[in-house]
Amino acid sequence: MSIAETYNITGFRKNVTEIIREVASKERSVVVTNRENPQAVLMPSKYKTLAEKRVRYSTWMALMFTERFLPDAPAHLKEPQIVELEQLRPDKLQAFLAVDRLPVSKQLRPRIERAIGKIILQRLERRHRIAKAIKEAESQGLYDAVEHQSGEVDLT
Amino acid sequence: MMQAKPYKIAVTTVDSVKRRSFGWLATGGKPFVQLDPADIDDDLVDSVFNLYKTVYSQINPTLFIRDKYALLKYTRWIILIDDKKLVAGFLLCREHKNGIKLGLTAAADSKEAKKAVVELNRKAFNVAGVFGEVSPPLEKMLKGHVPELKASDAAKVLQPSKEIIRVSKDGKHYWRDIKNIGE
Repeated sequence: MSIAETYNITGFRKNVTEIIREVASKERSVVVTNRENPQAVLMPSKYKTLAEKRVRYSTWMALMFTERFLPDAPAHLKEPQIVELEQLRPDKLQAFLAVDRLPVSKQLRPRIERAIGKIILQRLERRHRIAKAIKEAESQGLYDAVEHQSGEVDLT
Repeated sequence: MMQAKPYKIAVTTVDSVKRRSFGWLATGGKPFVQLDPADIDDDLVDSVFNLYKTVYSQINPTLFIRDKYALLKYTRWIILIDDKKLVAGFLLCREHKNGIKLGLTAAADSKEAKKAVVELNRKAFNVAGVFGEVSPPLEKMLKGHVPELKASDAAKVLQPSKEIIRVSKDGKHYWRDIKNIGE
């Protein structure tokens, strides 16, 4: 399972229609960068209601980063992640803008750990790992198959 | 309302199944312990996954679930332990639009464990709001002990994911296509 896609400004300009369609249909955010520095995030319109409700900036950021790092995860993995990230200050959360994959690379890890804490990063990576395993099994239709097998378990 | 601790895990002994009621499987109350996915003990996941591998590889040596973390699709776990505190059985369920759906079950290779897991399944199926689909071998163990639904209603209960169902002539069974298995 990947995290949200990143586009540089030139690539974004070229493919803007397609990117918007993708954000809307897959309900996934994309990050726009300039010279590798994150500049903006394009999010699905489902977050519009949150904007109208004037939710706290940290809630916005928590939602955005959860969508970015756990885009295909089931709600029972996303929700604890949002709750956890909401507790962090927005300036700390901004460190996540530099993260383009999970687990975080060795080079980047010290910087992210300094900003958000080692434990919070480990917990995010663990949820990402679980989400990846579930997504893979779901995409191959393995749950239906294994649940069918469950009825064949020898209990005599 | 967001759930910070959506997983519910209960560990109980093989011996206790007979005298326990399992209404809490539907309500999610005690003795379930509520957990954040990041806090679930890896040793516990390993123990359940090892029993899964042992039992399900006897049905088909090529396991469908090969990554232990894929078991965390199931958010309600009842784990049975024996007198040595080893995992002797389990019932893994998930929250479904129409209630709690039983997913995977297994028992260690002992009479006590198998008997307890059968009893656990029977009691679970008798909890209001809990349902599941079973194949003929487990059906034999449950028949007469659990409420049954008309096959023609199965599609409604299983929705939205399983809409294509073919009801058999007896009205009690149905077929549906399962990826990797067939009909």
